[in-house]
Amino acid sequence: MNEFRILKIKQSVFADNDRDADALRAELKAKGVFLLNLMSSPGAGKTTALRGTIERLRDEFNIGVMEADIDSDVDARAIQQTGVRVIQLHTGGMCHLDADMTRQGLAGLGTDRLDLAILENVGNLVCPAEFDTGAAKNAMILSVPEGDDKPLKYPLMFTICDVVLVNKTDVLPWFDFDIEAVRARVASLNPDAKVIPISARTGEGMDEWINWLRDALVSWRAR
Amino acid sequence: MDKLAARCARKLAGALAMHELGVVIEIQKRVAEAAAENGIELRDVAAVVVEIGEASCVVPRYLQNCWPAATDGTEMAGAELKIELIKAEVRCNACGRVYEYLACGRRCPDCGAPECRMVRGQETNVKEILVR
Repeated sequence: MNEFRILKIKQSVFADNDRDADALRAELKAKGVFLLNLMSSPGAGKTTALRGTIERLRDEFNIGVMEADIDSDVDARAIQQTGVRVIQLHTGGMCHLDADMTRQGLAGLGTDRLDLAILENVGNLVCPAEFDTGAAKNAMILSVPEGDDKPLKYPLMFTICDVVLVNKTDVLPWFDFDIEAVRARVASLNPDAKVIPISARTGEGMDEWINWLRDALVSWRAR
Repeated sequence: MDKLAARCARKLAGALAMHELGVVIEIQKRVAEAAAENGIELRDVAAVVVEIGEASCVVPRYLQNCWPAATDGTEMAGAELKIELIKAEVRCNACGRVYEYLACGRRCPDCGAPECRMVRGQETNVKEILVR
């Protein structure tokens, strides 16, 4: 091994992305654009919850949506029907978006006069948690059929979230899903995270979520 | 970066949406940056040593599998990836003892309490590079 010189680096693999994310966050703050990073596993109801969110907030705020997927544009088409600006991002095989891809997405979407940019991240509870996108707030959706044990299985995701939406509460009677257990598990990982039960389909709990989001946006701007 | 990701994804056909691919690309970026800062040619990099915590979200075997696909055709094509695993250790909230989390069955071996805080084991670090 004597023939090799050793260069000590000792830096997180994610250091580069973390720097990009901080820079993007500062730029968005200067422009007054609140970026929400929305994450969940596939099928948790991100797109349906997003449509409900847009319908309730589009008269108050200028909203833009970035739909991230490995392929396809089905989600972008669904969001387009709400009439807000939308752009489809393809990750080309990657399971998450990083800060640089988010920056490119925002450039494509256009941030002029935008109040609220929502990034619908790739459906996945692992990788998106490791890559900071530069968002002002991170939200995740856990749906009832997925089970109340998910905070135990994917601790990092629940650690980085500011708010956890427990979606599909309309099917609670048919599942052994303990919302109080979810609250306790989330609280032990991340005492600051807010847990809000919703049903994007029936609208139950959506007002509480909308109030949380509005407050987060307004207080972030005032900071 | 998109092109690189797409190229890797094609090479890993059948393993789409692999988490470790993104990690490998980040490792390459860190190495390229460190090499540039220190006046080292990338083709002189013989090996890259990374530290992966047992409780990180990275599977060392998959990381190793992604490495050739990500480096093939680049200046780093000849570089080897060496992975050092870091055991997950936690500190007991009740008595303060630091213990190996998985080996001890997720409970403090002294007082039996399950509540604890992670001390180490979540790392995904580029530790060092070996230069020819």
